[in-house]
Amino acid sequence: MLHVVEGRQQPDPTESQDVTPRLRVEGVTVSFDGRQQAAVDDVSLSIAPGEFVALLGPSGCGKSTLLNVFAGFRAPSSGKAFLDGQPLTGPSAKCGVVFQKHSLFPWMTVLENVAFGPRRLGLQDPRGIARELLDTVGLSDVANAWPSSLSGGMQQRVGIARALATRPPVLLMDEPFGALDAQTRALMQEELLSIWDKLRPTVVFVTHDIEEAIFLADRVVVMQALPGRIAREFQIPFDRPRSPEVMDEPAFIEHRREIADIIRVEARKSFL
Amino acid sequence: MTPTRKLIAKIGSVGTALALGTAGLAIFLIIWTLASARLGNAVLLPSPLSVFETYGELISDGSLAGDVRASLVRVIAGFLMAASVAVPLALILAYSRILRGLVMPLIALIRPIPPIAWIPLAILWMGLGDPPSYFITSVAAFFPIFLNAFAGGTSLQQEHVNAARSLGAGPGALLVKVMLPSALPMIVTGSRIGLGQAWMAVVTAELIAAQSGLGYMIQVSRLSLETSRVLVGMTVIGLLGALMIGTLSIIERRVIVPWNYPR
Amino acid sequence: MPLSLRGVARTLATGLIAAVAIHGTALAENAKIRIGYPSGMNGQVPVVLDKAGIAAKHHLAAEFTGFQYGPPMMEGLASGQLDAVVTSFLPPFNLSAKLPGSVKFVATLGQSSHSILVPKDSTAKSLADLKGRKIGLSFNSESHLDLIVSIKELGLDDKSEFQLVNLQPNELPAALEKGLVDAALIRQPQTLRLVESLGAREIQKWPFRFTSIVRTEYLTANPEAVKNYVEALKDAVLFIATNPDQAATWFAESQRLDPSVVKKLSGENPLFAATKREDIKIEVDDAFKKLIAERLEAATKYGLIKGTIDSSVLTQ
Repeated sequence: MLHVVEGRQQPDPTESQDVTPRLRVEGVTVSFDGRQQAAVDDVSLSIAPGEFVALLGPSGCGKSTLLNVFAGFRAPSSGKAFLDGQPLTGPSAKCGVVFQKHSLFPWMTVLENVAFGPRRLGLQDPRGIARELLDTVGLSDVANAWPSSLSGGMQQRVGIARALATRPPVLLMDEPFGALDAQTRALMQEELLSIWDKLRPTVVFVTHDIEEAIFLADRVVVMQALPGRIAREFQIPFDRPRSPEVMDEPAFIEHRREIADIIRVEARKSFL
Repeated sequence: MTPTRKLIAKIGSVGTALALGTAGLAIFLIIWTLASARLGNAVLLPSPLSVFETYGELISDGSLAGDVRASLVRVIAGFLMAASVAVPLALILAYSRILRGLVMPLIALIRPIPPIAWIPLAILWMGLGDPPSYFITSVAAFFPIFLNAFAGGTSLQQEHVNAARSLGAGPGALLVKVMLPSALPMIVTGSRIGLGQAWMAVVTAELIAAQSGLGYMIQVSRLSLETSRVLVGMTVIGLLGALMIGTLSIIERRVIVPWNYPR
Repeated sequence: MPLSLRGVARTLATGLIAAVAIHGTALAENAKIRIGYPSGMNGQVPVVLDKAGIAAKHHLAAEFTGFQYGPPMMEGLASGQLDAVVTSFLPPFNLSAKLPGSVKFVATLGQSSHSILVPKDSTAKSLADLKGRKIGLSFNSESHLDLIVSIKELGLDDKSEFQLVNLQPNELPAALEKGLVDAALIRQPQTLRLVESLGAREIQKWPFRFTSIVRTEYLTANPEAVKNYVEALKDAVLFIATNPDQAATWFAESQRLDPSVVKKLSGENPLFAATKREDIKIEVDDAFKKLIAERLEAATKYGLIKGTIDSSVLTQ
C-alpha cells in the first residue's frame, strides 16, 4: 500500500540517526551583494547517506545556491555546513557535481574528461575507468570525440560519467536535464535511476520539474523564494526500482497536485 | 559519392581555384608589362621581367637568402621574447584584481604608441645593429599577444574551475589543466596577430635602424634607385608574411587548439 | 599745345595699360623651374637665389625644395617632380646609370669639404686604424665614393674589413656623439660644429665639389630657361661674394646654424673669392668635363654605379 507522509515544516536537526548525516547545513544564510533578500535564508537540512533528495522550487528559491553550498563552491554568509560531520571548507572530491550546462572541458576529449577525476586522485588506469563508465552510459563510441561535437543529451551523459568516475559518495546535480527535450529527459531519468541503483551514492538533485522530483527522489524538499527557505518536505514512499508507470498512479498524482499547489502559492508571492 | 568521385570533385575544385588564380596573376603581369613599357622609366616602374631577373641575381649571389634570414630571425626572436613576457603577465593580471589595477592603465597608455615611434629610444639605448630591431619586433608583438591572452584569461568559466576542483584538482592541476587550456585559443589568436605585427614592424625597423634584412635591402636599393630590388624586397615580404601566418594557422588548427576546429 | 585734362588722362591711361601689358607679358614669360637643394654647404647658392629674389630677375618662376642630400633629389628628378638640382657627382651618375641621358650637368659651384671624424678620445689616426670598426656614412652620397676609393687604395675591402653603417646625414652627428659608431663621414657645415663643440678629430679630409644638373627633358623643352638659370646662379654666387654676411645669415636661418660658422665655411669656397661678375666661371668647360670623367671612372671601377655611362652624354 502506498501512503503519503506529510513532511514537517522544518526538519528537526537534533533528530538523531545511527549514522552521521552525509550532508548537513545548519541555519545557513547566503546573501549576495546588492540584493535585498537573501538567496538562502536560515535553512537547515540534513541528508542521510544513500538518500536521494530532490530540491524543488520555482526560480529564485535558492535551490542552486544551496547546492553550491553543499558542493563547497560558495561559503554561507552565516551558519554552518558539514560533510560527513566535518565542516565544509571548499570543493571536495567526495562530492561529484553535475552541472546544468554540462561544463565539460572543451579542450579534452570525452575520454579525457571522464578520466580527469581518476587521474587527479591517482587512481590506477584512469583511462580504463573512464572507458568503463562511458560504457555504462552507452557512449563508448564517442570516447575520442570533442565534447562540442556531441548532442546535448550525450554531453550530459558524459557529465554524469565524469562525476561518477571517482565513485564519489555524494552526487550533486543542478538541473542536469533542464536543457534537454522531454523524450531525452525521460530516458536520462531512467538511466540515472539505473546507475544510482548500482552505485547508491547520496544524491542531491535540484530541479523545477515536479514530476521529475517525485519520480526520482526519496525525499522532496520544496523551497520557497524571496527569501529562499524550505517550505515543506515530502517523503516519497514508492518502491525501487521505479518505472515510468508509477507516474500514472493516483498517489503520484496526488503528490504532484499537492506540491504544485504549494509552489503556485509561493510563485505568486515572488511574481507579485 | 564513391571515394573516386569525391577525389575527382576535390581535384576539380582545387584545380579550378588554381586555374583562376593563375589567370588573374597572368592578367596582372600583362597589365604591368604594358604599363612599364609605356612609361619607359625603369626607376618609376620596372618591368616584371626585370624584377624576375633581379630575383635571379639576388638568389644566386645569396644576398636574398641572407636578408631573409636576418629579417626572419628578428621577427621570430622578438615574437618569442614578447610572448614569454606577455602570456604570463596577462594571465596573472587576469586573475589578480590588484595587479590588474596597477598595470592595466600603463598598458593602455603605452599601447597606442606605434613601434616605429620607439625607434629613436631603441637606438639610443641599444646602439645600432640588431638589438634595437629585436626590441621593436618585441614591442610590436607584445600588445596583441597580451590583450588576447588577457581576454583568454578572463574568459575562464567559474564552472570549469568548480568542476575541476570537485574532481579533486589542486592548484597545480587547475593552472595547467584548466586555466591554461581555457585561455589557449585566445592566446593563439593573439600570437597570430602579434606575429603579423612583428613582421610589419621588422621591415619598418630595418628601414631605419639595421644593416641587414629585407627592410634594409629596400632602403639601400632605394638610395641607388634600384626599384627592381625594392619590388623584390616588397614581394618577398608579402610572400613570407603570408606564409608565416598561414603556417601558424595550420598549426593552430591541427596541433594547438584542435577542439575549436573539429573535422 | 595746351595741356587738356582729357589729354592727360588719355596719356596716363595708355601709359598704364602699356605698362601692365608689358609687365603682364613679362610675367607670362617667366619660366617655371622646380629646384631641389641639399642641406650641405652647396645648398647656400639656391637659398640665396630664393631669398635675394634673383630667380625672378632672370625671368624664372622658381620653386625651391630642401632635401638632406642627393639620393632623394634624384628620385625627384626621376619622377619628373624636380627640374634642376644642386648636388655633386655620384648621385647624378647613379641616376644616369638607371635612366641613361636623363640629366645633364650645367654648372659647377665650387667646393667645400667632407671628412672622417672620430671622437675626441679615439685612438684612430688614419683610415687604416679604423679597420674592423663601424664607420657611419650616407650611402650613395658623394662622400661614399671618396671613402670607397680611399679604402681600395689602401688595398682593403670595404665589405669585409670595415663595418659601413648607412645613416641619414642628419643622424650622423648624433651617432658620433652617442658613440653608436666609431667614426663618421660628415660634410660641412656639421664637421666644423662637431670639431669645435665635441672636440672631434678629423683624420681624413676630401674636397666636396658642387655641381648643378637639370633634367634633359626640361632642358630640351626650355633651353632659354636653363640659360637663365645658369645666369641666375652666377648672380647668386656674386651676391654671396659681395654680401657674405647677408648670405650667411640667410643660409644659417634655413639650416638653424650659427651665421659665423656659415660665413667662415663660405670663405673656404674659392668661388666666393671673386670680386667681379666677369671673374665668376661656373659654366661647363673642358676642365669640368675632365673632372666628370675622372669621377665617373672611379665610381664605375669601384662598383658604386653599375654598368657603364658614356660621360659625353652627361653634358650638353
